Amino acid sequence: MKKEAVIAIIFGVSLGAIFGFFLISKNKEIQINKNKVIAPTNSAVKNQKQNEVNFQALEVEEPNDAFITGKDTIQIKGKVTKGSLVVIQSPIKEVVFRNEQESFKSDFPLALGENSIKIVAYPNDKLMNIQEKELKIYYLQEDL
Amino acid sequence: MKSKLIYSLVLAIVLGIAGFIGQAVLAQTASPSAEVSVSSASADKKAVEDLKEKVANKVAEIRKKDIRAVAGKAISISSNSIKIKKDNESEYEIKIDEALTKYFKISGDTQKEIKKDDIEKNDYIIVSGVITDKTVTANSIFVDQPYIVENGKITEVDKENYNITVLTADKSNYKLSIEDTTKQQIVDIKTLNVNKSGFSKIIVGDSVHFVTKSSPSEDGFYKADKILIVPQEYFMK
Repeated sequence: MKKEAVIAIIFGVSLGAIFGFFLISKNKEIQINKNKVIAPTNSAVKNQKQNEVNFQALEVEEPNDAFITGKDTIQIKGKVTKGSLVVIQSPIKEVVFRNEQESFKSDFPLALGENSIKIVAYPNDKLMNIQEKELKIYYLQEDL
Repeated sequence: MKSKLIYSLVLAIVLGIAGFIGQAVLAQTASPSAEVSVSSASADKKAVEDLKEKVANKVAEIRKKDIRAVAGKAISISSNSIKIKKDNESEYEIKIDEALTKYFKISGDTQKEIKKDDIEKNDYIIVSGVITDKTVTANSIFVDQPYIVENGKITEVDKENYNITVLTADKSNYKLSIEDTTKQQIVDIKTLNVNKSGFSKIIVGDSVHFVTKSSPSEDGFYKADKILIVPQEYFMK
């Protein structure tokens, strides 16, 4: 083979490789531009952030579950998202209130024996889920 | 000269240690002096009594702290133990001390002492005592009436038979029969006061909070002890 032919082949292969590389990278760019990301609007993002900031999961700070007491009343203390409708129910009593502050407390009567107490919070924001907690409190008359 | 100095230094250290140990041993084995006065002996006795009392109080305090309660259905009863099953299916073994364990039956707002033989299989019992893993050393055992306190959305209202179906958050369906004795209440959506209500005011889609005794009838209905309706209008505001 002549020297000129070898040079021409090498030159051709190199040029082909450069052209191929250019085509692949250009194609990738076109594909990325075609796939548009649908982002939420600024106000939606702001509202979501606001909800995240305001959200407070229902927490019962007092009393602990399976608490034993010798008294016929107990104070229930907890936290939940501001403005939630809170319903506390047991076999002998129900208390309904809207908690204006994040934390709440309520004096609650107890029956002798086991007291199943259900605490349910309905958040003001319909997008938030209803939250529930159940406590078993024991009012027992015994010499410990 | 140098080695002599080292020997004498080692000897001095050994003698020093021996002297120190000897003094300590002598101090320990020395007989009490006959001169100890009667007043100091009584003061010691008082101090010991005080210490005993303090220890006893501390033990009682710790014991009181450790006492917890567990409740469930009695599934087997033997002479010195009872096995109970909780709502969540976990089982506990209740150890009974013949001399210490007391038994009571709760009905309404009174409790009366009973005997162990009065406890029957399937009775719902509350046990107070020291809980270690799944074993409870029982102080007291109370036979009580269990209740279900639940809430959910009303999915069906049977106006002919006075029944409602409730779907709870954990996707359980409760069929409730509303009896003459059922206490029916509704939340006023403006004032949030709890008012008396009637069956005609119950609408599919309302939220309901209910209390029922734990065992359903053969056809799967729970007799509602009380219901509290939160009208759906409250959530539309």
